[in-house]
Amino acid sequence: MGAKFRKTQKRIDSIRSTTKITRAMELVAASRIVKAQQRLVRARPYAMRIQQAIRELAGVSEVAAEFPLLKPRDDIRSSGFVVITSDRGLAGSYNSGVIGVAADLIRDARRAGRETRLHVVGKKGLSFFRFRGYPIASHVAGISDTPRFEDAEALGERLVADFVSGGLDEVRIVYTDFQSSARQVATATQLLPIRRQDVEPSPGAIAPLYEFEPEPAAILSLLLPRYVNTVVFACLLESAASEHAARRRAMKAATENGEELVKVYTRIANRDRQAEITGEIMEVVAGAEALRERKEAS
Amino acid sequence: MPLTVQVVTPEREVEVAADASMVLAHGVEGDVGILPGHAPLLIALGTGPLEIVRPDRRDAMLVDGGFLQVKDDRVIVLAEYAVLPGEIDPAAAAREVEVLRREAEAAPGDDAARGRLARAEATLKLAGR
Repeated sequence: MGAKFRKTQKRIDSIRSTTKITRAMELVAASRIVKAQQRLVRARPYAMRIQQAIRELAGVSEVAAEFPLLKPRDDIRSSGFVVITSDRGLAGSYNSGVIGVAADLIRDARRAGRETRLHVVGKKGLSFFRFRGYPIASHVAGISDTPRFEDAEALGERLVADFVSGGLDEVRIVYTDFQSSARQVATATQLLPIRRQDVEPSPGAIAPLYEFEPEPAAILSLLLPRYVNTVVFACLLESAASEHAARRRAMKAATENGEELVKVYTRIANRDRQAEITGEIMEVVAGAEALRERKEAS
Repeated sequence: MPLTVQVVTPEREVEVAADASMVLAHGVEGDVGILPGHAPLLIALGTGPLEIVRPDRRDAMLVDGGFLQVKDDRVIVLAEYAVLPGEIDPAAAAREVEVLRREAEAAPGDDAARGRLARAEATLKLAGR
């Protein structure tokens, strides 16, 4: 067989084995989406109840407006950004989407003369921002696949401490919102100060006359940082589900492309083989013809 | 009318009971007992057992931090951490207490280490019941 044919054949084999890998990754990602979604659903009741308790407390406690975590600052000099990316690639535009949104926000904050500080989750975001020389206040890897509440707690507590001490005047979190397994959107939301509309008592709702222990203000000061942790946790879970969905889609496309390539190359290989056979027949025929002509001439 | 009890942590819903006759909890300012018909209540919880008394049995679990809310005979416990006796491995819990006790002794001013030790000790106590 000819060299050209063998080369094409080798190529087909290599594409086939890559397709097997991408197919396996697609299936793994698909099963992880389901698990990530379940975790998302399981985390909701706690977050909802904390938020509700704050709403009810904010209604009775006149001092609510004075809590530092609820108080927007007039003069914002330094902005914190939490950017949630993945540790591994091969997830289509998942990371570039989040990084794009974050980079825009950071640019705007710098134009407004603010100092920016980054807290990065995931290796992909870290390598992007580090390479471009952004100041990184903290980074954590190995949690974006299946985030635990402790991870959110550690990050939340650090941000709350920085905010309360005045090191940060606002904090925004950039994550990927899991809207459905077909649609994930890179989103930025304000984490600190806590947005008033998220914790204000719902209009018209009459809060029951609770007995408090300790007094309302003390409970509220315990509840608010926990609320921040639940928001961070929700963003981590949303991002994890989105990452798996993005990876599944990317791997599905890769598998389909691979299969298409195998078809194309098989056609080329067949054509080359046919051309070689035709060539050989031509040589044989030409050789026979030449022999016959020589015989007739003699 | 019996109490409805719901224990929720950030990662799961641990226990839901619809027929409790009493709930005992460890608040930061002392233990509280809740009977049906209790006035609306919102308290902060410390590290300690949460007991749910039902007509046929009495369940206990360890709760560390969080809040307890009572409203219209519904008791909602928002715990950062909760563990059921069946989930505790007594040998592992005892080992953890050992390790954490040494850590806490090594760093006397470390509140976080003391908190972890208190949780581990309470876990071990619950397992021993």
